Amino acid sequence: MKKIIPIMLGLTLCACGGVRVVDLDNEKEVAAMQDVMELEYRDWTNTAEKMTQSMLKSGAFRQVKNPVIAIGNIKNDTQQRFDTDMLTKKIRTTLLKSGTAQIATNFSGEDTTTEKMRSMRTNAEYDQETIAKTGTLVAPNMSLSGKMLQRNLKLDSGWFSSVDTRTEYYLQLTLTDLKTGLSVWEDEQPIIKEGDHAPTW
Amino acid sequence: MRKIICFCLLLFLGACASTTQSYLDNVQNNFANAKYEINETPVDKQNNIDLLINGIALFHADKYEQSDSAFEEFNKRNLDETSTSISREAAGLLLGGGVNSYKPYMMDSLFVSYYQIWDLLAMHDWSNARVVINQSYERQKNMSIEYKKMIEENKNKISEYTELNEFIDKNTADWLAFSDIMNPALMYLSGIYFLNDGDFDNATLYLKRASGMVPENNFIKQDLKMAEKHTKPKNTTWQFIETGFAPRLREENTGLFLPTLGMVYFSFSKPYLNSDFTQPNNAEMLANVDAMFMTEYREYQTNEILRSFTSAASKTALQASMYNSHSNSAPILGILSSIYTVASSNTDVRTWATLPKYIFVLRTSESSNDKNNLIYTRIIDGKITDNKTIDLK
Repeated sequence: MKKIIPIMLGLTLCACGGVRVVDLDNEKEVAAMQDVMELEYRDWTNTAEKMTQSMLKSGAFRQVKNPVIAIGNIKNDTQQRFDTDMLTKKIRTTLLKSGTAQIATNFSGEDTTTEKMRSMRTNAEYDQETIAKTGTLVAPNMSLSGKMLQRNLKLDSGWFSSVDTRTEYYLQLTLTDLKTGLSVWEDEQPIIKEGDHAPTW
Repeated sequence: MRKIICFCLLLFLGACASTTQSYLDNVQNNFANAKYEINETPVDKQNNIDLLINGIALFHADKYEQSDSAFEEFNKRNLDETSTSISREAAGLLLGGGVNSYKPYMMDSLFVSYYQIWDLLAMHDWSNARVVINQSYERQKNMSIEYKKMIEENKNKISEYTELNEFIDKNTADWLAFSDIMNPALMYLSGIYFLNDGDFDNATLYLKRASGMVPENNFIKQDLKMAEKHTKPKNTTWQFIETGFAPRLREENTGLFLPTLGMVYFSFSKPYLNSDFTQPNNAEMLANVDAMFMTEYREYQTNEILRSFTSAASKTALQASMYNSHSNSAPILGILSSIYTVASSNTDVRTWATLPKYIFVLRTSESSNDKNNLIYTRIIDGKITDNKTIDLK
């Protein structure tokens, strides 16, 4: 018995420093993820989902025949470094899966192979039948642009409270009809967090 | 025997402060000769002062990504920059100023942002440059609040010590200082960023603030006018010229007679001005780093001298009681208390020694130049040690 107790204690303490892989298919596990003041997986996923549903339900895509969207500039106006693709990728995926709109990947320079392939039109090494003909590229008729903002507010907290800051993030997106230059859909999603230290790195 | 041991210990511990000073002297000499020794230790293993020196060395060596990483590590490690004075004093009280890890000045954090913006613009990473500008704005806002609190607290603390107050006033009387924590070079660089980005609201905000900090600078006024008219400058070059080195701290010792204890010797740091003054032709003053340093240092020195004096007084009492004890262990206790006294009297003379003394700016327009440029120039002892041009979009 004397030997078992230290072994059990040792195992318990070893377990404290372990790595935990979160199963993203398990809703309970995702919900139990440690809360952080920075923007994280759940923020990106939830916000992108809300934005896409808002876009789809708005009827904006019914105003344009065969909607093709160019992903424009999503400005990171926060105090944290992140790639805005984390947000737009989820929106694009949902839109594509819904069959409502298509994404122009060549227009914003995201896909360079489309152009490269066309530059092979005079190259005898390639079977010209496999090279795309002129006038085959589809131009976008809509563009998606936006901005992510951050505001830090100091809170009156008690002596023993570690919560002293509220950080408010706002994601603003706009869908523009490129033919008319008019906005056909806009939305804003706030993400509010309270804790110790606003993320400023 | 006991006296010999104490003497040896004093010599050994005294050498620590001079080692720090000679290390920083060496760094400055290398920078003056455009020699940048890159520390290959992973950034998470480097201490604060090494991160700062290494970050700027990497910037001069055109290794912008690595420089940005070193500064980013510094930012992550010093989240609560506004509590610097409190943590600095708490650690100093227990261990002595130079023994604890270097607690950066608020000014250091603002210069980190300034050099990070240069790093990111050199890499044409406009998105992250904007993030760093946002971070620095938030920091300046918090620092300003904290600084005002610190001044009030110090006024109350020092009011009980008339002689010390006079001593500090005398020590800092010749120095020019601002009334708030600020970095006009950082503000102006941010304004130029927004002006070139076509974000005229932010450009106006930052340039107005920069102009308020350096009202005599005409180049800022020109840019502010353009921002207010929502006009992007064309064929324009802004040259930021850094000259000389910022003040360095040296350890000084002094004694004050107390009727109950006799003479109490305590150490304090004293700033020394770098005499190198280079005024580039046609350039205008943008940032007086000497004054920026003194703005903050004046308040830290009040804390440091108070701490050093009260700590020396209590340790003088402790040491005397140990040596005079009749116990068998009195000799060893006396030696131990001597070690503690000398170690914890040690003053912190560390500063970010590579910062410039002044930053000037020159704004020129040439029709032959089809785009806007930023030029960074470093001059030490009249010699150009770094000069780089960055295309703006």
